Amino acid sequence: MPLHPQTPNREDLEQTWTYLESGISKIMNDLQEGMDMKAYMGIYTAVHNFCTSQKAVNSSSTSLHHQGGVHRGAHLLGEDLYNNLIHYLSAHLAGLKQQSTQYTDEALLGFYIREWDRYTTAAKYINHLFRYLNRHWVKREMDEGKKNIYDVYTLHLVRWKIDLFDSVQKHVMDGVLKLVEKQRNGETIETAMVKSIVDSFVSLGLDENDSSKSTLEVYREYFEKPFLDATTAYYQFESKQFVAENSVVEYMKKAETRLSEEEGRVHVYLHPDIMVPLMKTCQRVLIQEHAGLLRDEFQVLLNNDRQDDLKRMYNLLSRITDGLEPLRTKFEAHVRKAGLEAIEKVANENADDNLEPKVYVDALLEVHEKYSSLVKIAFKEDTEFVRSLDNACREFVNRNKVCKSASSKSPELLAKYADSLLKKSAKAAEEADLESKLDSIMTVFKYVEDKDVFQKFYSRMLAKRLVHATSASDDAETSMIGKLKDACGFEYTNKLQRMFQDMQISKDLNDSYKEWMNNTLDEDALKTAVDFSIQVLGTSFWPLTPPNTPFNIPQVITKTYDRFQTFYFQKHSGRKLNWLWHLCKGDVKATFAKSSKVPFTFHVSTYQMAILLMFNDATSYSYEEIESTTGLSRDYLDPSLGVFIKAKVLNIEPSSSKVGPGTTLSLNTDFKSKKIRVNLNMAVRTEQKQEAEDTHKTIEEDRKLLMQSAIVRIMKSRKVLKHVVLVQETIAQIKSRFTPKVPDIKKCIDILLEKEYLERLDGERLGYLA
Amino acid sequence: MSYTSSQRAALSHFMQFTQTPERTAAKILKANNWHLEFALDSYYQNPGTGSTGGPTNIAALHAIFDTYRLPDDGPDVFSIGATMGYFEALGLGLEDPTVLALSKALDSPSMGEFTRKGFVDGWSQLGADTMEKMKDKISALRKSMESNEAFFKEVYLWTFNWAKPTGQKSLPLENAVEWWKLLLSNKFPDHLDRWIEFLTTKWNKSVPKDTWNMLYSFAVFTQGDPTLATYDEMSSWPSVIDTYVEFYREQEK
Repeated sequence: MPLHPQTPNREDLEQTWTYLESGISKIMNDLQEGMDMKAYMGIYTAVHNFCTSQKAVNSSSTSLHHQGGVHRGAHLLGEDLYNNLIHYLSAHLAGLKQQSTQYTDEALLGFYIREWDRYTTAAKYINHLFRYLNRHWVKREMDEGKKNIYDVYTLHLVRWKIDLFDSVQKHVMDGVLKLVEKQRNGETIETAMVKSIVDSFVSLGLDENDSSKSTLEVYREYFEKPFLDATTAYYQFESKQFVAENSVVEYMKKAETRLSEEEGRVHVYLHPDIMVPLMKTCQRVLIQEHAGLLRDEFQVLLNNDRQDDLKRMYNLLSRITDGLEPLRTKFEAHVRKAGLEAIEKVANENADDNLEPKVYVDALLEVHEKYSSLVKIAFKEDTEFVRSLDNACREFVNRNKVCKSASSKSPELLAKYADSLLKKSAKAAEEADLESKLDSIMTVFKYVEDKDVFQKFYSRMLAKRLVHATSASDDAETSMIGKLKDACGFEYTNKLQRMFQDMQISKDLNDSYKEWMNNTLDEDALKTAVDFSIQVLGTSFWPLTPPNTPFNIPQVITKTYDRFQTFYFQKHSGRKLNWLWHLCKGDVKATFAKSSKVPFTFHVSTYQMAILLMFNDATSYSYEEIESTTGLSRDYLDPSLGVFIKAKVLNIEPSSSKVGPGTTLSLNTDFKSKKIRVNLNMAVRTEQKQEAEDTHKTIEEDRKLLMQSAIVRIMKSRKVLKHVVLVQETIAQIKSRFTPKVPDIKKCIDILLEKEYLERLDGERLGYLA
Repeated sequence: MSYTSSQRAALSHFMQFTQTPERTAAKILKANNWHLEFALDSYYQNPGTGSTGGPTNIAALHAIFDTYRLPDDGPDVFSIGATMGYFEALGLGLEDPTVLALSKALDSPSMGEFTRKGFVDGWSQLGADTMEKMKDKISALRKSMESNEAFFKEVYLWTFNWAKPTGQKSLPLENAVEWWKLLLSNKFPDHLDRWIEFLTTKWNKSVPKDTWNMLYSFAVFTQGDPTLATYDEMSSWPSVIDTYVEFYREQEK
């Protein structure tokens, strides 16, 4: 058992300190040899005794100031011990400092870490032994606000910082930085070493005002700063060289790797606090300083559809502020160009009138599809890129080569495409497929500015599908209207929905008409009645125009005509029925052909029916006779006859002449057909074109009304408004339907001024006149 | 009552001009701080103030009215023929914009027509009951048309309803053109001809009230900016004027 001096006299400082020093020194230098309980308790007791030594003296002299006496005494004696401890530590650290000079680099790091561990471990024990000093003297000094007094453990750290760290830290950091550089160069290093250094540096950060708290100040100044500087220098050099020798794409890969390596470094052995500044540093050096180079490559990557590289570039540039802004502009321009080129291509391949709606819409969709997936995959659906994509699409959807004549061409073609999907046809799409195609219509629809034009054409074609019963599926129709409603609101689809209602009402009407006939007609009349069904459609919901030709209703159907009117007016008095003969059709049985015993069934328009019925009475008529009997204008008569001649139902004299005055038409008894049912009800092409023109014309009118009603609505609620504000608000209200032009709005304001809905007030203001 | 020499000069000027008695003239001048122009303005804008000079001879006005009324006319109206004769007697040419100022003052219901009531009330308001006094008043009105912008504007705006055919909302273009020529040749010198050219070759529609009214503002605007450099289509000009400016700029190119 090692020899220990006797527990010293409690009042003798020198004796007490000598005793303590040998114990401390043992803890400091030879802790691994252990310390027995007795020695430990000896030191502890010595500290306690020393600090309390004057208690007895004082307490006996003046019991009244018992407390104050203790204070004073402990104060004096504690200070002596505290100062002695400082002396001891300084001497110990001076020795270490001396020793450290023989080491450099990794060896120095080893030395530093070893001594740091020893020192801090010892500090914990010593702190414990001096607990009495901490609790009383140190606490009181600190409570009194004395500066530079610390608990014993902290005192150790403070002394380490002053007596050793300040002079060796630079050498230590050199070692650390060399080590990290080695690792960056690909060598394996002992990362634990760096970590220990970091921990040591962090421990030395003490809050000036509260030594129990630590700050990162020391670490930041002596570790972080040189570390970041070295990082900057390293990567500046490396990236400059790499860029000179490699492609931009290679560089992006390199930068990506480097960034993730640095991030990993933080997790493995650096303090988490460095993450933000380290990343900032790397991003500045690796990205910011090469941002121009990267951006220059962007167009190249876009042109070559390098999705992965674009993603890489996005990821890199998104890390720096405003890094993406120039890309967005370029992206938008690129998409717009791609869209315009795609449309130009289809426009060149197809003559203006022949451009298939599907081809056009597909071309639009293809570009959108391509770049929206790029935005999704490469640009993480970044909202700004999404906006750029939308801007670009809006541009090329509304202003491209096909729309050059009229911006309303896009919605027209889109509506026609929708019609082609929803119409019965041989190549009807599968249900799921159809649904996704309808969705893609909505994708384009979203970009269409003239939504009112789409509505017009859509409703016209829907009307046709319903009237001619050519709609492929009620579900698909409903689904499409639902989508339009979601996009534009109830008002937009109101009329469309009313059309469906009318169809249902008509069904019921036909049933009750049949019932009525059974009840009112006698048997003979029922037998001779023509098979008849009808749709009664509300004028204000259906975009149907009355026929623009006179027409003499053929004798055979006048009975039916009168009968239904009687029925209908009984049911609804005060209503008016307009007969849209040009939309009606019927089947006639024809027994004139010699070739077939079975009568043919001709599917014809009402006009054609009127012509054919004439041939019940004679087999040949002059053009003029037919014209006067049917009452049809030549615009309708000629094409109707044309179909008969082409189908060889009628013969024309002189043969192969054009239908017109002076010709004679006779029944072709040699008529042949493979089919028993023959469809002779062909739509007339000129009619279609005329219809498109009419539609465009009504759009102009509707727009004027829409603008006027918006203006009146705004003025009604605002009463007085500046002219400019009124124009802006009108645009805002109408934008969802089409983009109004300011001169057009002004014209509407003029009209409303004239109609005295509005009045001019002074200072550019307008007032509402109720 | 004694006046300073400048006051006396203003007084005699005012009396000569307006043919008002001294008491009235002094009162109006005083109310306008002896500022001759202001006093004249206020006199002509409120012609009623003149009548304070003394009661006008109402019977004399009826007599004058009957003198010029034609036998075929109704008892209380001047037809165009009567008006012509009356104007001739006053030495008032139809090419004179003062006709408009007078028509307004006498509450003429439409072009070339006067009523007895308007005639009598109007003249007694103006304070004239003889042909001579009437002539003086007319030259005073003429002065006002030339020098008093507010007075002119009132007459200009009033003209539209007076000149347009009864039962119509707007003024036929050819009439409007004549009235503009008559009224605006001095106010709208750089643009009047071209404006008329534009309307007759491009626009070809009758002129609604708003266009009529706004053209006055436009004329004033062109006085400050004859080349229309600062004209703003986005502000509240009616579109016909926007279109004119477009036409003008196209031509000036």
